[in-house]
Amino acid sequence: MKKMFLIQAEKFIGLVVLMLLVVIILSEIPLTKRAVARLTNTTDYIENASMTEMQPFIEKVSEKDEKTKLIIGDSVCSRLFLPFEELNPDYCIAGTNRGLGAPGQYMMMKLFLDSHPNATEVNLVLTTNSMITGYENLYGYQYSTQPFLENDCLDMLDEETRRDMRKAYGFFATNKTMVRIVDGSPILKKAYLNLLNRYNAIYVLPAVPDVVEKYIMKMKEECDRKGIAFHLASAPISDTEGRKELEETIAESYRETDLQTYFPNYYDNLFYYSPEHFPDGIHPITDIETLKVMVENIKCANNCMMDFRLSD
Amino acid sequence: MIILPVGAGFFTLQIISFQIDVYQGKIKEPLSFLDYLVYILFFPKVISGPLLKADFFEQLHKKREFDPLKTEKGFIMMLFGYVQKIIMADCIVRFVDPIFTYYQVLNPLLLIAGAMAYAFYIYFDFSGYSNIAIGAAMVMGFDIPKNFSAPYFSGSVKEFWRRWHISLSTWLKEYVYIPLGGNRCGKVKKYSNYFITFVISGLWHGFGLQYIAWGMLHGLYQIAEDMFPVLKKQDSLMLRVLNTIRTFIFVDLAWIFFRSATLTEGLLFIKSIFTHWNISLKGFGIGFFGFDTVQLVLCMILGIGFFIIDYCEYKEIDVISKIIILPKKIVWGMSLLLILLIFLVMFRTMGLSASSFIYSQF
Repeated sequence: MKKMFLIQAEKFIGLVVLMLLVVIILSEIPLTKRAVARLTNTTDYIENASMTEMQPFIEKVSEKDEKTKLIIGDSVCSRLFLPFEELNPDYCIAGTNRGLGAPGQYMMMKLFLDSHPNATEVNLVLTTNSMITGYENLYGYQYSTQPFLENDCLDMLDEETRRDMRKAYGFFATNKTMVRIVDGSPILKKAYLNLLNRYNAIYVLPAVPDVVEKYIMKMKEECDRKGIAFHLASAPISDTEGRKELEETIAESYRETDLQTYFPNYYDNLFYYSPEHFPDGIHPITDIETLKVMVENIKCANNCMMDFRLSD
Repeated sequence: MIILPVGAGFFTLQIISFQIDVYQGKIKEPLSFLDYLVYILFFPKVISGPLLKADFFEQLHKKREFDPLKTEKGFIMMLFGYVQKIIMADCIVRFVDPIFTYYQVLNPLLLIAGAMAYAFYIYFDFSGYSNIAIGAAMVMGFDIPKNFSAPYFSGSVKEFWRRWHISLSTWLKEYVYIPLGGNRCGKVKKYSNYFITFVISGLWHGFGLQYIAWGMLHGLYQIAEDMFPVLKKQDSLMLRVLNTIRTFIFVDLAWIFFRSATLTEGLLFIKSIFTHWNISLKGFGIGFFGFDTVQLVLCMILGIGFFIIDYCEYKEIDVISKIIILPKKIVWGMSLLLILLIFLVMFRTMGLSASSFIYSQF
């Protein structure tokens, strides 16, 4: 009797698994994907925002052209410099997202240097928020692994970093097939990102993580080796209440790293602007005159991008 | 703020009743410390009951035979419990929480709807947990007492307490009400015993005055029903229906205090029901409460199903026992559908903060 029951139970469990598999397969098939997504409230996960956002930039830095200078960094960097792109044909401007982390910025730089043998200058413009972002749940998986995995760039990182990525984003985060399967199904993607957030939460602390120090140093070493000028500049921040105290805490941590030796002015050159220039508290407004002031300050304080034009 | 371990209230009651049962000689067989620990910490019921009785030790020592029907019944009960919690309770709570948070600016109709919804939320949440616990125990061959029996079909508050959180009301009756003298020492003493028992019940649920108010109200209801027997009369269908509605309103009024953060909030909530008629209902649609339409529709359909199941329960028909003897295809089909619906709702609500079982805090 017990054996019979167990056989029946096995069959039932098999049916449950089969049923779930069918749902997952239906969510992978383009014809039924949208319907399943609507039913499971996962339509936001159909579009691969990180790939859509990152792929053009990866292609941009990899494109073999006459550009000799690179500006990379987070979304604040992008807001600051992209409006002046047409005025500066020598510059490849590829500020992207904080989620890339330092390894992501390193890969962007490597791609540029590999396709631009005549490169002369690399500028990394980061907010202090990016300076304290190592691996994190919100954007890390989507920005720092997936787009680079698709472009076969993860090999540029050392094994320790890839191992840490697997630890942070799941054992298959560096496996292209698995990532494609998860990415293809909105329900798997929603489940995966939510589970990651819930069970593998990584908290961003007001301190510079080892991985950030390591990859900024790697960027500098790579540039030094090739005789390219490398600059690390701080992006402007909003002068909100308590912000300076927080920055002082981060600065203390920064001063304990090797970065302090090679980039001692990163914190000294931190510019605060009135909060009215930062509608969301982080990104500067698109008013061109304000942006000009901000960029000019970065240029002068860091003695970099000296030929970067802000007007005709 | 006092931090207590999860389920502290429940295992405290278990420990007390164990002591009394040993003292009164109800537990005769020799017990090991391990038996005692299993009795107190039996995992399906450790967080929120049902409270076990001394006869559990007999089951513990008896050799249990594998019973496929019982196991199947246990799984179906667990499945029903998960549906009650994940689909029903977690949907209703999204409507209830904003109403109890913003009651001062809401129309009374919404407040009444919120208070009614809370009655169903707490029922589905707690009954869901109890079904999961009873089902899990059943799968392991144990019978633990049922905790709910169609409580909102009760024709009086007294009947309500025979159908709601049965294991707690039995415990209070056996270890508080009867030792206080029960109904044997005249009416005044009986009424004071009612009152004390329910105030203790309120205190057991929490240290706030709102819980005492909840307990006091239930004590007063019982006294009123005893003083005015017409409130319990169920001679005709009409009277039965009217008394069922009256009981629900009385119980729900008490739930307002139970749900409120403080006694003052509870009183203000009730006051708002009578004074906020000048506030418009406009703008408080499905969107305002963040309702998930699919889950809402599911909740309504399944709500009808649970109404029927409760009605059968009220008529003393054991629905689950009837279900498991149906042809396998029907049982499996129904189970697969419920599992699919649970997954559907889980996917839909993933990322939203799921509420924990409400009774785990007591």
